[in-house]
Amino acid sequence: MKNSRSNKKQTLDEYLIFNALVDKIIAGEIRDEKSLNCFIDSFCDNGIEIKKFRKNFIGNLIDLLSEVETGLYKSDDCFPLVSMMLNYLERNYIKDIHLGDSSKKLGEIINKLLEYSQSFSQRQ
Amino acid sequence: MSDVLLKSFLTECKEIAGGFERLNSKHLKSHKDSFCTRDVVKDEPDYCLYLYQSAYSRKKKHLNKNKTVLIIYSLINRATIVDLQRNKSLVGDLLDTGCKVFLLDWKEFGSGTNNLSLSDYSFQFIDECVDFIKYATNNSDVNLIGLCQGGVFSLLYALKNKNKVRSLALMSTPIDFKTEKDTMSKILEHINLDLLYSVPYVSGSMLNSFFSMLAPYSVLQKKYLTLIAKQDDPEFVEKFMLMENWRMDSPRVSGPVLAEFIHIFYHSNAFYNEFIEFKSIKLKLDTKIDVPVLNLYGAKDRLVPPDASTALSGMVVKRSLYDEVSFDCGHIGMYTMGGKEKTPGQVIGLWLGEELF
Repeated sequence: MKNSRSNKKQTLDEYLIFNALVDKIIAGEIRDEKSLNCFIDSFCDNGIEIKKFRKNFIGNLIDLLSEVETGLYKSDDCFPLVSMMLNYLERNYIKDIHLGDSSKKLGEIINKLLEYSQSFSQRQ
Repeated sequence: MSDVLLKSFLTECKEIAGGFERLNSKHLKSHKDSFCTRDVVKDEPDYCLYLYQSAYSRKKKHLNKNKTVLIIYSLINRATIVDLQRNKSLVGDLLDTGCKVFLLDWKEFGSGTNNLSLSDYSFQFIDECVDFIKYATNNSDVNLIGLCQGGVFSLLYALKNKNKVRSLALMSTPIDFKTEKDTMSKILEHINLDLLYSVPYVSGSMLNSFFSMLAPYSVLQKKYLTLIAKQDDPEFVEKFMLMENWRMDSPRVSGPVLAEFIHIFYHSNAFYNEFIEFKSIKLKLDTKIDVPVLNLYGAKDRLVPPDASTALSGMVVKRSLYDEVSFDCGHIGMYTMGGKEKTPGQVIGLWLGEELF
């Protein structure tokens, strides 16, 4: 993943894994290197892949965290590194609503919920 | 450096996990800390009109007849936000500057009329309240204060009833619904309005889900990191609990009214047209406003980006009738500001006292 940020598929993978990682952090499940490795390993299914995947993932994570150091993301937040990851994910999420096709997909989700509400009210 | 960075990251993760454990062992209390008392002065099937009084009236304020205000709230969440916490209360600040404060509070959809339309909220109900206030206050001139969607209702009312409104203060109110950074507008482009018209109501939980979609990492995760870090600060925890309870307590809203609002404003950007048309009541409104207007907005507002609010200046016929003030806060922060800087309530109170009119 590390040198392929322009590769859409891999950037999406990276985004989704970071997303899963912050979920685990907020759930209090990441406490040390062991639990972080355990999280990373859960994405792999054989020993060779694990080693390569772990190296790439850590590399990408450090790339991202380095942006706090270089001042790309100014953060006065508590837990600046984790907050910065959340900022990064939200910026990408919003960017995709404005420039990608997320707004359409979110609209479809809302329309599905409305369909459900409609059938619920008709049954009443 | 990378090892150091990774170590710092893991230290933060560990502190977060430990912080959550500590938080779980506490019993955070839900607070109720309103600054003011209020009386129902008009109770109708679809709304209530309240008159506020300070519960801590250490000094009797001299009420100025020109400072009779009617606050008009949005249909989303509850109007309790106008007086949520002692010393951080919009209503409290208005009372302190000598205003007589009325609040038009919408009732949850389903308890009153079933076939409501946008014109009921924007014209009929506000008009009933304005007439009532004039009668009850020996013909005071009424100043409207509109909050967010309530600001849109207030503006529509003022456009239709130019002689019945002394002035208009709008807070976090969208005027241009197509600005570049408007995330809500982008998503609402894809809503099936026929479907929304056909749904009797949209539940509060569905509305909450929608608003969480606009900034999920901030709304559902990041703020809890702040709570963990500040869990030993009682003042912070109290405000956090008040805000969370308020945010989650969202009433259901009529589907057709929401659909009409989205159609007229988000899809057609009606204030940018020469006229706004309400076909159901055969009404065509000119979009020029000629009463004094004060526009207050949050520089960090994500729901209504600053550009969406400042577009109001283009609707006012004379430059001398328009003032705007930006605050260093987001959408909701406008109603709960405290501290050393002048709050929106104080700014409105002072503005109403100026010899502008």
